Amino acid sequence: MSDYVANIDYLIIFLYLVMLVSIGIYSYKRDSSYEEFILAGRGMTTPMLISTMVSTYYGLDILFGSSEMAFNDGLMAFFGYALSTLVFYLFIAFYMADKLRSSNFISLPEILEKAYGRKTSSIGAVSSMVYCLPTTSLFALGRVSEFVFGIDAHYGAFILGGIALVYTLLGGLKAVAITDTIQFSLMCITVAVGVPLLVYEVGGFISIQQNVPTGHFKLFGTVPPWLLIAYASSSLAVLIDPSLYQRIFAARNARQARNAILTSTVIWTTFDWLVVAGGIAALAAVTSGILSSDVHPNDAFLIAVTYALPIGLSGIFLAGVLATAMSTIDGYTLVAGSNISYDMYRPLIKPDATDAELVKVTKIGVVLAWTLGYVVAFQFDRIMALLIFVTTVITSTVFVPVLMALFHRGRKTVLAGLLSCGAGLASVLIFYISMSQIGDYNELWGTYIFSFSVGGYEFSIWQEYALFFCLPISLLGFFIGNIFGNKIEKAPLDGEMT
Amino acid sequence: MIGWDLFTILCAIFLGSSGFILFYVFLRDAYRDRVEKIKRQTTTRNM
Repeated sequence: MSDYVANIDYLIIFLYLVMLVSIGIYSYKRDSSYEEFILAGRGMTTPMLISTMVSTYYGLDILFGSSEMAFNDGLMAFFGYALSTLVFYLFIAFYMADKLRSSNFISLPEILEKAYGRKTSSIGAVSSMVYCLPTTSLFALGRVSEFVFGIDAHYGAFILGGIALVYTLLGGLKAVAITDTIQFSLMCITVAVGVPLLVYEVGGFISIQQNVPTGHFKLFGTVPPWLLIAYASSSLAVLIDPSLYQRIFAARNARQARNAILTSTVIWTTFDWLVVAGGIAALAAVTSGILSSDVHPNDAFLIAVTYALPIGLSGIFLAGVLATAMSTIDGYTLVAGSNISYDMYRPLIKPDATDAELVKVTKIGVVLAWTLGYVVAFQFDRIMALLIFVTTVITSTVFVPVLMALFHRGRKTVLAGLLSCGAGLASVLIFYISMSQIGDYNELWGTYIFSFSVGGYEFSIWQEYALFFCLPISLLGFFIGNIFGNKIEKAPLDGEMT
Repeated sequence: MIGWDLFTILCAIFLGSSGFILFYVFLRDAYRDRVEKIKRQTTTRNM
């Protein structure tokens, strides 16, 4: 048990967990159709949409990743990393939400299926599933369990992640959306109270500036520029985030989807800032001796805010932290499950599958995705490394074909989709395997770096630069496929999205 | 107090009130839906 957590806090956390399972049981409907289960019958209200968008995207990986980055590099975590994501959300709201919602899709790979056929959509479904595996959230949930309950990370992730699995299986997107709304409120209120209290506790930003390195208050920090661009580029994944797409498809109409994304973007911005401010304040708390010097950067935010909050409120904060992880696990696991059922089982194994069969296979897929995520979760040492890998996989695979399907009005061929998806995915795997063979592991940055010199100039390629190579390969694949493939006489999307 | 403190407080006020407001609207909508559902069930039974 943690020194910072009182019995009343444990009681609050326990009540919160009981409530989550109760919601799953309440939302359980024996004969729900596939669309009801996976898209809540396309009838989600704006508050529910906003809550589920914000809480699903904002997982512990982001909470810990951003605060860890702020702890190590300062303001760069907000200006160099978080803000780029928010710009892409604005793009989705103004240019993509309408196209996506009005076409009545069910999943992201279905866009590929309609534009390029089943082979391309199958590759897209695999990369979407990899992206949606709850690896980072389960990993982080384990870390939180160690801190809060003093239990082994593996058991903590299993028990708490298991609760998210149970209510997702019982109630589908409806249960996910209801729990997300409660989790969203908990997250917002506790972070809004906790961070200002922490900043006050360490003496405000004047004191913080005196206790952290000066580089922490440079807008783009002291991080190598290419790494900064690599972090910002990973935000491109937002444009093809399967979970965000699912929320857009579940909206009552396109206008509601756009408004929900715009509101969510403002909330994300404030949330991001508070987490970054908390990360920097946590470093000041360590350097000024308020907190122990052996605090790990990953845990610093959690420990510092819990320290700053009074008894009772820290219980609500920790429930909010658990909520942050569980709302991501449920949302993404459900999408991964639907990738298995709707995007792999239906087109490849049983095209005439009934609704009941699809719901059943989705539930099996949810369990499978959760189990895979759990197994992979503890194979990585750093959250950011894992996060960059999965975003690179999905961006290199489906970014080009999906955006071309939505925006490119000219010639499109089946081969273009297939080559773009296939070459993108293959290049990521080859890049990562090659870097682990020829690169040197850098302890400081926790990544592989390949250094070489040409004409007296020194160059370094980091593992995080994968997207710089793989995304152009995917684009090249699209153009080559477009030249040599047979033109699709009437691309289904062209007609539907006008 | 400097600019960053002020920015932090403003963000906290916005985020905290968003949490409250959205939860309130969610509960209100859920209550209305429930009342509507009960009304519909009663009407169907009376018919």
